Amino acid sequence: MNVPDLLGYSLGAMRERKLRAILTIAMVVIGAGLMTALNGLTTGMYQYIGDQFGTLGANVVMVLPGMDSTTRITEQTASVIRQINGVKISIPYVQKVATVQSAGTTASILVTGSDQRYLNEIFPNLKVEEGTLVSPQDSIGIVLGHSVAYPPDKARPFARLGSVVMVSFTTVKEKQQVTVKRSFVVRGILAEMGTSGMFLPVDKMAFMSLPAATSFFDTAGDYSGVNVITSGPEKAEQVAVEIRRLYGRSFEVYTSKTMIQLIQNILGAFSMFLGSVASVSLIVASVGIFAGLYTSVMERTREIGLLKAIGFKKRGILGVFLCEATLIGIIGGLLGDLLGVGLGYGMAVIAGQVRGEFTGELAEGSVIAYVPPAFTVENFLFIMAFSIAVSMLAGAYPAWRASRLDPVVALRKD
Amino acid sequence: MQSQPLIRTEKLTKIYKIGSVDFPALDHVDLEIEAGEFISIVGPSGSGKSTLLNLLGALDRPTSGHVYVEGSDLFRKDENQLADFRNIKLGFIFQAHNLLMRTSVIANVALPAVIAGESKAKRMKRARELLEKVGLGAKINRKPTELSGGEQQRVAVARALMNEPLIVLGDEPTGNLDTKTGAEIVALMKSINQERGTVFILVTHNPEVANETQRVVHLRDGRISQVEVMPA
Repeated sequence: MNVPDLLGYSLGAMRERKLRAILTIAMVVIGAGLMTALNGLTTGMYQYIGDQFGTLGANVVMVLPGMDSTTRITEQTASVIRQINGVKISIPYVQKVATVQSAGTTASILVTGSDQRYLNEIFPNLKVEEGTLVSPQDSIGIVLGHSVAYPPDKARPFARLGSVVMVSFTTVKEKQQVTVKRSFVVRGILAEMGTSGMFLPVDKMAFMSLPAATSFFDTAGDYSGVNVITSGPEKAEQVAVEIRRLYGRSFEVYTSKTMIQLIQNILGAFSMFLGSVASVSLIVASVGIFAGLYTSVMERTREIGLLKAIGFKKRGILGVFLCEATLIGIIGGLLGDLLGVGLGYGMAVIAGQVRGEFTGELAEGSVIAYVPPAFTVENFLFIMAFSIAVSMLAGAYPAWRASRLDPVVALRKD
Repeated sequence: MQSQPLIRTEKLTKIYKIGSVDFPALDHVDLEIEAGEFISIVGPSGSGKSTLLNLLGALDRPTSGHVYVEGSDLFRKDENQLADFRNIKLGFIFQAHNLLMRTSVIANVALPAVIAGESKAKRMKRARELLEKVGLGAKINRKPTELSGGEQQRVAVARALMNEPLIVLGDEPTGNLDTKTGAEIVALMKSINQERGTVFILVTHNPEVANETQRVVHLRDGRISQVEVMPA
């Protein structure tokens, strides 16, 4: 029996039990679709992160306080780093979540104090729409991100150029909640960035001068971190090594490269998790295929007897049933790939909204609203192959049983 | 050279174990069937006629004894060789459920040639000829479910002839048909036997069918009790 004849025979048998075939295929479609969608989402995330760090900040080295370290980052740290060969500038900054209030409305946002002359080194796309940036000596000026000044969900602007906003900041000192308040004058409003830069939601942030921030937040000379700009992207790694050599594990030192690696490692673990969840659904589908084919073998005992009587060999019967399992895998995998693409885009939109709401309330962390999924040919092929393999494996035992049926017994059954 | 018969059984024995009791379904049966014969095997239920047919049809293996077909010992062949033997040398007609209901009549008839690996054009041509021969030339693309019981058995006859077998085995081929239709099927088989010399071995308990055959082998308790040669 040649392959086209075998395919024709198996398709005919599946058509005879249409509903069961459709249900069995549907199980594979769901499993494969889920795998495709989740794979697409994580691949999209990977690429997005690669793009973020690839285009922005390839020459930025971030220095942050170590996880369990009590070593402070101070002006001295910044000036030591400044001396390292290959460093163009080191930009210390203070960054806190604070509440801004204007004309009766309040918003919780991320406020950064740093030397704004270097802001463009970190955010090359940053532009001022109205007014100017704040000079290093300005202790009452503030620059608002576009969405802070013009909240997208409100008709009226939050604050205008030249208006006064009240910034309040709450900390715990000696087990007492202390809230400090100070008025700032809006010196500038930034143009909309759209995407975030270096994972910071620039549109939803506010910027002030470094002295203003250290005094207002009362940091006692402590900085939140130092952004180091190297003289070229190729210097970043070498500078990072030197900083690590000087400070050991006191500080976390990230280059865009290590940052990508770190995030991609986390993503990798996450996608492994998602992938295994999705593959479980395919394995569940395999139980369905097994049950479906096994029942089919039982129902078709008489047919198998007949086939043996007219000359089918064991491997022929095996072929017929394995071919059915394979067809289920191929059709299921193919439709699953297609479904997965749609599902991936749908899930990306929903995930974006969830992240949007989350960050809208916290005004902190990432504000990646929508990351499109990315689909690769390798992923499609892998999922196809996996679907087919799972289906064939599930079909192996029923097919083997069918091939072993005694024709005399099989023919006696009506 | 024509000294040996087409089929010869030698002390053919099949013992079924039911619990710890041996039940001899077939007990040292010696039977010779010549080329071109049209014979029937009759006997009460449990006489061993189906067992004999299954052994002649290579669907089952004997406990002891031999079946020689064209001089060669059938059960020296391995399973795959037996499958080929059934495919090429034999045709089967069962009492009922002979056909795959999902495919067309012509596809059913062509199935043995599919196994044999014949090209589609060739097997379709031959299947059409055979269906014309059994009087179903106008219904080749129908589904078996759209056919009467007699027509379905005609399709089964056509399929049994597909690979031009030496022997056609019928297990109560008219058992599900009314007398008139049954007689028509027997007449069809008889005409094919005369025309092509294909051996027909029919298991039946219908005396009217047996009377139409050249030789009637009576089985009782697994042994041949009588062989009747019918007047021509």
